[in-house]
Amino acid sequence: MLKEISIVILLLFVGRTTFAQNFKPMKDTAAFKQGLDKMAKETQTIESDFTQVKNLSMLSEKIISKGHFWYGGPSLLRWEYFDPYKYIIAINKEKVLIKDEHKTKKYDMNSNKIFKEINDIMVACVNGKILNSGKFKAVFYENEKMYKLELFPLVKGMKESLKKINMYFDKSISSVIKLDMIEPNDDITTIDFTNKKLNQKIPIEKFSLK
Amino acid sequence: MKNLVLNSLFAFLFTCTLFSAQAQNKETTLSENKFPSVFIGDSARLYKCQIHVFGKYYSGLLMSKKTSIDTTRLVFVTELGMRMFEMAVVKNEILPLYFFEPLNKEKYKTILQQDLGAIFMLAAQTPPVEIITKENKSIIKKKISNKLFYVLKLENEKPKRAELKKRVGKKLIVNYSHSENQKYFSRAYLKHKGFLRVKIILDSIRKTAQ
Repeated sequence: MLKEISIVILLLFVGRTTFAQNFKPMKDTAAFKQGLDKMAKETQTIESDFTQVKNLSMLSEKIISKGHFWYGGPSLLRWEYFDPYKYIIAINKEKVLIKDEHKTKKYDMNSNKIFKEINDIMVACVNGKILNSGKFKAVFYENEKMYKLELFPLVKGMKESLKKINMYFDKSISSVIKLDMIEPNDDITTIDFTNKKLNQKIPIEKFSLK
Repeated sequence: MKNLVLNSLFAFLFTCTLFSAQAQNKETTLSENKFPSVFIGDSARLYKCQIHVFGKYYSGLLMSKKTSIDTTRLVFVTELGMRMFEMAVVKNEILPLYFFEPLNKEKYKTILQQDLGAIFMLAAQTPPVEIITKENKSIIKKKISNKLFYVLKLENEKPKRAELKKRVGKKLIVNYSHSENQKYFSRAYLKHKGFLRVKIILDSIRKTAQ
């Protein structure tokens, strides 16, 4: 009897979870866009933990990386990976700085078009300005707990490497809580942001890697 | 009479040398138990991968996984999750499947195919090969073409050094290092000889994938 009750509870829980993930077309996209604009204007800095999961569909394998993220404005970004190994990538205006095993390398962002493109997308996703970039067609969804934005690339060079970006926002539209980047072969990179701190002072040295 | 004795002596010495050479050099196929292939088993292996190729530098994670009895996939993704290339090793032959824009050129494909093939010791697993064994050390030789030879040196059945040799001089060298009690190499360091600016470093890392 106890076993049967457990199964019923489990089924109810699974059913609820599945329902919670079911997204429907957004009812009020104008209000959402307004919220997104407000978020972009109000977001000065973001600090957050992140978990990145690269799902390799052909291999049925996942590569999980963890780290900390700082956003100090459109040209100030730092991704610090702790796991599976230490690695820092920082963007400071036009410079890309990479620290890997005590060695720091410096690149000019404009010398690498693809890197610049990726950075622009990441920054626009994080600060919510992606809708104004003109590089994506957006489709809007929502469920009980979240808003979901599906972005389809319009630029030719991008279509070959990126099929779609999914962005998830909480209902208060205070910041992005999750990102899915889906490649044409259906490999997915998911980044979950947790323990977020918005608009707190971040020392400028965080973006210089000295 | 004197000539007859000398001729007999030469014939005897020649026969002894021939028997000795046959005892030392035997041409054989390798069994999986004898050779430490990195592609044994179904589990995926994860490496930190650094590639210096023709003045460009890429770093990220390389995953290898056996997907069928004679096929292993190799996928290289950057730290940020971008898939840079994918190859398949089918019956010890390495084939390109996908190369992202900056690497999608013939010269990159050719060099990465050859070099990853050398690191993963594919030539040593392709019969017929020549094996010379003395105490705990072995040398596996494979003729790739009339001008190219592959030589793998093993100690206690663990790879120590691989070389791709031309008739005169070496083309590339791979040095392997091992952690204690580790069956597979913990680090492979490939470097080209001469002016070719190509270097690949693989560091085995604990697997955080599922």
